[in-house]
Amino acid sequence: MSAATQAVKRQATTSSAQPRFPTSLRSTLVATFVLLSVLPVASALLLEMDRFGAQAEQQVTFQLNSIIETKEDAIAVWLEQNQEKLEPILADDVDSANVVELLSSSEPSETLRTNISKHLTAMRETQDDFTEYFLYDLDGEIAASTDSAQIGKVVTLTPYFAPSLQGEHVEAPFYEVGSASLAMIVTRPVLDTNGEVVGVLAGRLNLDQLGGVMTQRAGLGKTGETYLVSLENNYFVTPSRFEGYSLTRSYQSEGINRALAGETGTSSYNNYRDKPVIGAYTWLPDLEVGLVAEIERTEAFAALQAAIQTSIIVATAAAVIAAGIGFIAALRITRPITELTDVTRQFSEGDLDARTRITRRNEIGELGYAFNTMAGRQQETLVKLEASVKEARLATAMAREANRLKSEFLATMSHELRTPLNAIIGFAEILLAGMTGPISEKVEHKLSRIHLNSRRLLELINNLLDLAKIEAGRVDVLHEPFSPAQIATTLQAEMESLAERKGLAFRVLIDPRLPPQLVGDAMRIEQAASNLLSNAFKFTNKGEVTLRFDAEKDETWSVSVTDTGIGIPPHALEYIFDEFRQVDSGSQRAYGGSGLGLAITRNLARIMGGDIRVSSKLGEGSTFTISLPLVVPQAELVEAVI
Amino acid sequence: MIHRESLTTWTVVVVDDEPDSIEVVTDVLEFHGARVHSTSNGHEALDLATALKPTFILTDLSMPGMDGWALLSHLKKNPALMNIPVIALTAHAMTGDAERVLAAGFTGYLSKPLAVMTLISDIKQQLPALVQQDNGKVTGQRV
Repeated sequence: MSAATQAVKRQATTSSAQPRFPTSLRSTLVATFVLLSVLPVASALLLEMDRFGAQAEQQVTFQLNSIIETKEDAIAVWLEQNQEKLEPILADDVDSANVVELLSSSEPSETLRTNISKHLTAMRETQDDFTEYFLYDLDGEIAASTDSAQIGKVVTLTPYFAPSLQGEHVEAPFYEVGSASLAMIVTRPVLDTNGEVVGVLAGRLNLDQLGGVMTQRAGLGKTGETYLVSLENNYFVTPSRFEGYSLTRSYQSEGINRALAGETGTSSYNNYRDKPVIGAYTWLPDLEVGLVAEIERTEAFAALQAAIQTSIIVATAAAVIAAGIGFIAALRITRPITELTDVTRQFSEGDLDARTRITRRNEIGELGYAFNTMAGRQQETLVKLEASVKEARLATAMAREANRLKSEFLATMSHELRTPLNAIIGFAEILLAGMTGPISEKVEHKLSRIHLNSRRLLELINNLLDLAKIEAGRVDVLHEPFSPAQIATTLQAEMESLAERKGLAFRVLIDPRLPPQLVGDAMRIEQAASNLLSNAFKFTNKGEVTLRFDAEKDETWSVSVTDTGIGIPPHALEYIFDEFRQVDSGSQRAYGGSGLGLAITRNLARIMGGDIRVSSKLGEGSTFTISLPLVVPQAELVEAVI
Repeated sequence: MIHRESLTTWTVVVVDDEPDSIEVVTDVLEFHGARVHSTSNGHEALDLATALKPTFILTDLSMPGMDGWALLSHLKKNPALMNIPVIALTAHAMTGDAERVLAAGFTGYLSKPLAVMTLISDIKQQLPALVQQDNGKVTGQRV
């Protein structure tokens, strides 16, 4: 992998903490599709059901009402027919005369009674609508009957007796004492030849037949029924179509009660079987009975229920299909996005060749195209950058090597230069010391010039060598315990004569907060401080020079030298630490020195992990401060803790 | 004029590859009465040391062939020579050189250029155990 891609990769790993977002565009799209498809179907369904429900109830009501009407007509027809059936019984003149005689005479012959009874029996057997025919006289005594047990009984207390003497009569169902059930009687007066009423022909209607009429339940399904209820004890006149509900029980329900109260209408209620029903009811004034038609709601609305079920199935199916379509659509939308995301991730993780496939000519395709273009440009830039980084690195390495060679050369050269110089100095000193015999004052003077210049040349070379050694990286830094106070003492002794000679005050101040023992390279600290002090004395003609050791913040301490010398002009502050630079070339002549002292001092400070800074005011003085890492010996630490 | 000492008991071996350097040291030591034997290589220095049992040896550090460091380790290996003090003549001593010299086993060191005026007192300072300050007598033994 190339350097640039590695760099990119490194960057990517720091940013790969980017979260994978939990919300999925896909699920959002699917949910939207489902919602969009289900919502209209569901609301349409609800509206439809409401409408359909109202319609269904209306329909059932209508149906029940028409059944009521039909039954009412059927009952009327049945009654009329049965009334007419009494007429032919006495149509024969002989029969009619016999009956008149039987009813009129106070002591009718048994033969006559038997014959007429036989005739009645014969007539009754021709049909099923009547269970009994009987004749009674004006006193209400039964003269003849199809049921011989009835003969001789008196009917004056029955409800039909009085009206039956007035004309043709139909007695509404009534509770017949003794039979413990309801009865219906149809009567027809018997007239003599003069047209006088002599008695009554009566027929006991067969209520089973009426039941038959009522239980013809066409259009009423499995639970629908029609029945008649009497005011008499709320008994059923016609039977329930369900078992276990005898005629002679008192029944209650909203429909029954309203019908018996003479009302006509429809309603929803729980019927006599306590089933929720829709019922239609009416009062039949002729028969004095209530007519009720009912159908259970479950059956009435079975169609609606089925429709609802179908609708739910349809809606569910629609939702499932919509979800499926939504899912596919979402996939079609999100897959290219996901692909693009993956490719982007690959690219950001360093695969600069990663490109997305463009399969669709739409916005996403456009996005992919834009990404590819961007990636191409990015790659190009990175490749270029990589090349220039390589170039720069090579250049730096070459420069460093060149510098190292230069330093090496300087070190060697300095050594070679010093050897003859040392000899010159040595011989000059021997001569000056008078070891070779006395010398004249003139010679001595010239010799001291040789000596002094040789010394200056040597200092310059030594400084060059120091610098070269530091730059060549040939300097080891010690990390040993030392006493700052000891350094101060050494420096004070070293500088005392210099201070005295120039008439300057020399002060040494040690911050009491500074630990008595530090770890570092005492010799180099001393050398650096000595360089600064030499400079300070060199450039100060009156006033004082101060050496300070201070404890600073952030685990550092400082060595600073302050003078009241000539100061440094502001423009010079930025290059004062550069090699071979003094404030101006004139100062070199005036004050001497190689111009390497500050460069060496800065290098010393830096190889010890510190640095140097300066503040100065022209004409007032300067302060040079070396800051160094403050390290305390282990033992010291332990003591401090104790 | 410099005060002339009387160091007639001193026998000194000077080792340096630079004849001028040797001459400077020799001039000064002989001026003060010491006997000086010089050589420009380590092997000869070993022979001289064995033959003369000198009061001390002054040796340059960087020389072709056997340098000052090698000479020292040879001397220290030989029981007959191991007690002879050896003073290193160092080139301009960068801080740190002095420590290296003493750690290697040299008795002391003198930086070039040698200060002619104070050379004798500088040497005496390096060899306090060897020099009887009161009578100027030199014993051959380290105390």
